[in-house]
Amino acid sequence: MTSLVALFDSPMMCSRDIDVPDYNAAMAGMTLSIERLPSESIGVFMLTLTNCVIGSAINVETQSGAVIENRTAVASTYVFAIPAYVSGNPANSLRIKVRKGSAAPFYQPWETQAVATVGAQSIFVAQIPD
Amino acid sequence: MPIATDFSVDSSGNLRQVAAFVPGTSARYTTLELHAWLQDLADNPAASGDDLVSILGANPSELAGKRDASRPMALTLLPTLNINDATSQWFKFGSVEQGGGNDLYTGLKIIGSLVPSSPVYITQSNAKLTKYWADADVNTSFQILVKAKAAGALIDGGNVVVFSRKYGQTYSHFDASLAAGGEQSAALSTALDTNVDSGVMTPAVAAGYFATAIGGTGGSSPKIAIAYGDTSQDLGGGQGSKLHKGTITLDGTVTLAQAYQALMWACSESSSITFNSVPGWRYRVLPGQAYPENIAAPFGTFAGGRWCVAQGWWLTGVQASDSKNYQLVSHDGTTETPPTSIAIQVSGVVSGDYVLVARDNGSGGFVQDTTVASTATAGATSVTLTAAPADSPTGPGSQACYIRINGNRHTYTARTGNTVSGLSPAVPAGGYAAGVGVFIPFIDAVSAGSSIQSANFQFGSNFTCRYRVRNGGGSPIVPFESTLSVTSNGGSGTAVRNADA
Repeated sequence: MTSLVALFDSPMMCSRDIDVPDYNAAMAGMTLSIERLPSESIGVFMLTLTNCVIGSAINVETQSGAVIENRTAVASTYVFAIPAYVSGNPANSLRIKVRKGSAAPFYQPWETQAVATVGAQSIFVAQIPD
Repeated sequence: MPIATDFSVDSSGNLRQVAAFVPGTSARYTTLELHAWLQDLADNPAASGDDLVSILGANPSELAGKRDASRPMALTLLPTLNINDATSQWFKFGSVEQGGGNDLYTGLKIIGSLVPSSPVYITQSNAKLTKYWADADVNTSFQILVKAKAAGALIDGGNVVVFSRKYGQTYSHFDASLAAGGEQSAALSTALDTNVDSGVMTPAVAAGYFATAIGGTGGSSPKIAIAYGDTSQDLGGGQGSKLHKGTITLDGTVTLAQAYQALMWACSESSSITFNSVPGWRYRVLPGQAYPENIAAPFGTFAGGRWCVAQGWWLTGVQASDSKNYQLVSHDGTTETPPTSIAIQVSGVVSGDYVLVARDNGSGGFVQDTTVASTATAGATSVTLTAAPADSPTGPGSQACYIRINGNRHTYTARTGNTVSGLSPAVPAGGYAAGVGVFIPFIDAVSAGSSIQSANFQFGSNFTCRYRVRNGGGSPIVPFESTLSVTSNGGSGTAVRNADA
């Protein structure tokens, strides 16, 4: 839920959701701001994995184990659009796993972590032969 | 069977066998195969069946090094994945570590030349492990895992002893340290023991040779009695009195061959005998001692009809017919042999020839064997010597014993150590002072026939004698002199009589 707040002498809460097309903080002498719930994303984190071994299983999950993406690599570079939340939200803490143990050549499980922010990050996947 | 059907992994990481391992029937998987299976599961998008491993969970395993099917693989299970002892029986050729290094199962491989299907047993902390292998495993490749570490502590320091002791075969054992993980080798060697007739000397018969008190069935008067404790004894072979740390007493009805067989059974895998509280199946040397081991036969090997008894044991009660068929090794490592009685003979002489035989000094004369130790007064019939040679006659037997003191010839009737008694003639006027030279000829007499022989004496080691034959009387000859070798078979020489006409 997104709320509109108009600041006069004291805050006034609106009881319904509204759209805010263009934010103008100086409108008619009142201040407008947007508050979002913690569960709502504030943007997109563009995660790029490079140098993946084709055939590897890729899993992107939160630290709590919620799966965000899971797929088998058919190319060496993958781009994931991952929701980003306000700073401090645990959903921003990501664990990225890349494994290839089903068919030769085998690679040791590779794992790293990332923090989702509105923007982009590229991660080099350095898989080691097993 | 694919590995997946033999195991399951639950949500707590417990990797367990689906059915118990059957020695001789089930096939073991290598630790690499276990790792490969777990990694195969680990990249699945989700767990399925009874193997709850997928990419959603942590990495289940890692190897020390790259996958290599030709080398034993040291596998670590992560982080909570684990096997139990029963499940570990399914694996070989490497090691499995788990619980953050708290538990370790190490590979054990037997190498060497063994009689087919030689049974193997393993001791850890002085107890036999319950077998989860088949005797026939040694025919192909004996490779198992043995638990070496539990709850963060090495079991018995990580050491095990691998034995093969089948009655009727020679025995073998090997100390192996499993602390390092990987796969450790135990070198064993067995062969058929032709000195054991297990059809006659059956285990039941052998058990009857030992006292009931030590696990036998021979009651309180066994054919073979074992005692522990110091005993200094002289076997009589010239080595003198030696310290021994235990005594094997035969009751006089037992041959050495029978004693050997019974003691071999007593050290076999199925033995019920204890030696000073040490079970026979892990007896190695006389309890409490650190002697070199007789691995093939813990109480000593038997070869060529001769029993080489293991170090430290004193053997008594040997039958007369076996009196020379054994040897002992004292506590200090001296090999002791039973007495070997020999004599020296000179032939080619005639009645009236004077023959003198004594130790050669290497320069044309005789060795001064010893000296008088203390003054011998005139008329005395005994003298004490400084160091009489052990291999000189102790009594005349059918021949006389001779001694030269300060050049004077005497016969004697007995030598006990350094004391020579029964001197004839007695010590002459003036006596013998301490330090007077002495040598003990083996022959120092006039021949009564075509040959002359010394008294018997105990052989110690080979030496050379010089002998002289002279006759300046009725049948004069050119003095003859030569040397002869004395061995464990005695010594003999032949005079050449050239007339001195």
